[in-house]
Amino acid sequence: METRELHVEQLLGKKVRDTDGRVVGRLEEFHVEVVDGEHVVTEFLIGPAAALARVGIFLTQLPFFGYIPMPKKEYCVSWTLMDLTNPDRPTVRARRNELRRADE
Amino acid sequence: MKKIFQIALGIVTSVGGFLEIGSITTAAQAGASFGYQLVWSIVLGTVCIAFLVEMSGRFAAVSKHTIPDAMRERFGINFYVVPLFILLGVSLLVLGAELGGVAAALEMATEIALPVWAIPVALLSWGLLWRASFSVIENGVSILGLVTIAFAVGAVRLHPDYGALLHGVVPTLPRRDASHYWFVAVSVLGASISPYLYYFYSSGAIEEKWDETYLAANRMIAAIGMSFGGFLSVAVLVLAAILFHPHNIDVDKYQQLPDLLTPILGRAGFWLVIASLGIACLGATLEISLALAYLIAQGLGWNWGEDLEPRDDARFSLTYTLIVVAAMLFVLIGLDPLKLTEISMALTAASLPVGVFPFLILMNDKKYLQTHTNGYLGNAVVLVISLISAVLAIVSIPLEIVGS
Amino acid sequence: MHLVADVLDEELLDKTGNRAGRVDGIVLEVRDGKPPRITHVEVSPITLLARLNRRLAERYARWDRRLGKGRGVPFRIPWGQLEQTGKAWRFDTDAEDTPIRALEDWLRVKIVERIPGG
Repeated sequence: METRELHVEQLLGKKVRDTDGRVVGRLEEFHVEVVDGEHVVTEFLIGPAAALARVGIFLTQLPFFGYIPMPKKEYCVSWTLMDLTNPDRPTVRARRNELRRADE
Repeated sequence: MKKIFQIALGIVTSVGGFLEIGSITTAAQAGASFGYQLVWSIVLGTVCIAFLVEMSGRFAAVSKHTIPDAMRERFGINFYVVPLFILLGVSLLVLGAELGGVAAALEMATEIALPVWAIPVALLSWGLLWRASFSVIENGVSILGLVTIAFAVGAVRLHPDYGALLHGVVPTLPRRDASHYWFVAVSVLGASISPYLYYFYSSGAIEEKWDETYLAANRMIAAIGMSFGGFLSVAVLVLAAILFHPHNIDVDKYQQLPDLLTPILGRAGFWLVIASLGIACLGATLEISLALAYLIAQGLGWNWGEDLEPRDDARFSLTYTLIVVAAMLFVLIGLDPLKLTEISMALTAASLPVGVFPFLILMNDKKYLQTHTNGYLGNAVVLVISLISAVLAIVSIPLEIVGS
Repeated sequence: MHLVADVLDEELLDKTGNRAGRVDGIVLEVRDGKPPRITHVEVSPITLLARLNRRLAERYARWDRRLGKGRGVPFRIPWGQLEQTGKAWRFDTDAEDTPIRALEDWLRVKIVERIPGG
């Protein structure tokens, strides 16, 4: 079985595209689960909003700012859909509108 | 009983540590040029720093993280380097001004020229950092700093017009010399809201192993300590407003500072100003050097701690050594501490949001603060004051440069 | 668990409980037909600098390589050695025996111990 190494810190913040070449968002987070006794990455969070949401938490704590509409939640992409063959240009093997939003 | 002692000590050190070359000279300039009109800038700055210090202590007590530590963790290195370099740059200038302040006090005391003192003062500060423990630095120097209360004694003796003083609390538009008015207001704000102060405070809370039982004490220290500190700044402003303003004397040389007390207390007044300036600036020199070393060490995960021997945190100790040396160069090449103060205080005000924004984001993060996150009021006060300061600074700095 | 929120940039403690840097990087192993596995974390100025500027990282690595055998590459801790304790990650080695403390030790011996009071 062929294996390759990838660096989380290098992938972080990279723009991810879909099969049509459209930008889905930036790679923001890696969800880890234990499978067969190993820690593996099962989902990738790609956010048009992920970074903004962090800032947003604080804005909603201010008077009146809570009414400003925040961007929608980030996309959750299963590892099976993620193509990391070229780490500088990660792609999703699906169309953007087929992807699942977080917490849906 | 132990808690009461700690609260008292905390308040005393905040009061003793509040005044430094920035707050003394900017308050004196404000009073000399504009009478009581700029009292509001001290009040605004003091309210803001009190909130920031309270938050910083609460953050450390609840999360057991210092602010730089959490900033690296939360935002990653790519973000962390931005506030790191900006704070480092601005604070080095402030540090140069403080070292210059100690040297200026020594020059006035001995009549030996200021640059000659650069190396001895740097050596003294470095020696204290190298050998003394955190509590000696934090408590010892700040308690000596209580000598700055002399300014309050002097101000009360002059029987200021308290009604007019209260009027000054309300911000008003300048009656003359608008660009200089805003520039002085900005310098006062920058002098009160020093980023190194609240960054430093969280490291202190960690060194003293605070936990959630310290929250009430923390609130009292921040509120009472900072109010008294602000009160001392107002006292300096009052002295200048009464002694300098009617005679159209502006403060543009540090040699004028003893004139704040000599008319009232005579020769003793002279020595009290020298002692205040020297001790307050020495205290600030130690705090800023440590704060910057913490900022670097905590961001990179080095061993750090003022209670460790230098051999146990070599990188940390050598970092503050280099910082003191760098600041010393400003004095050695003969830069005027007063000019350096004016510029560095205005730049501090301009860069406030850089330190404050990420800090506020952390203060609203439940992961760190659980149920102790900021309320509406704290967020709004700190955000609004730091934004106003920055905008005023960015507008008034170029105007001041053009004007002079 | 989330890699960015819970692991990357978090503080590391060694066996003795001393601070031993931060998680500067995380290495994944990509395999055919299986999800990517976490294999190591990296603690090294090289990894850290590479996040800011690759050329800077290469330059540092070249300098570091001259310091001895095994240097010039980021130091790695196997994922299995790490354990989350409170706000930090602990690993099962003494940092003194690793390159994490190399610069610290070098500075101590070459500079700090030669200064009076150090």
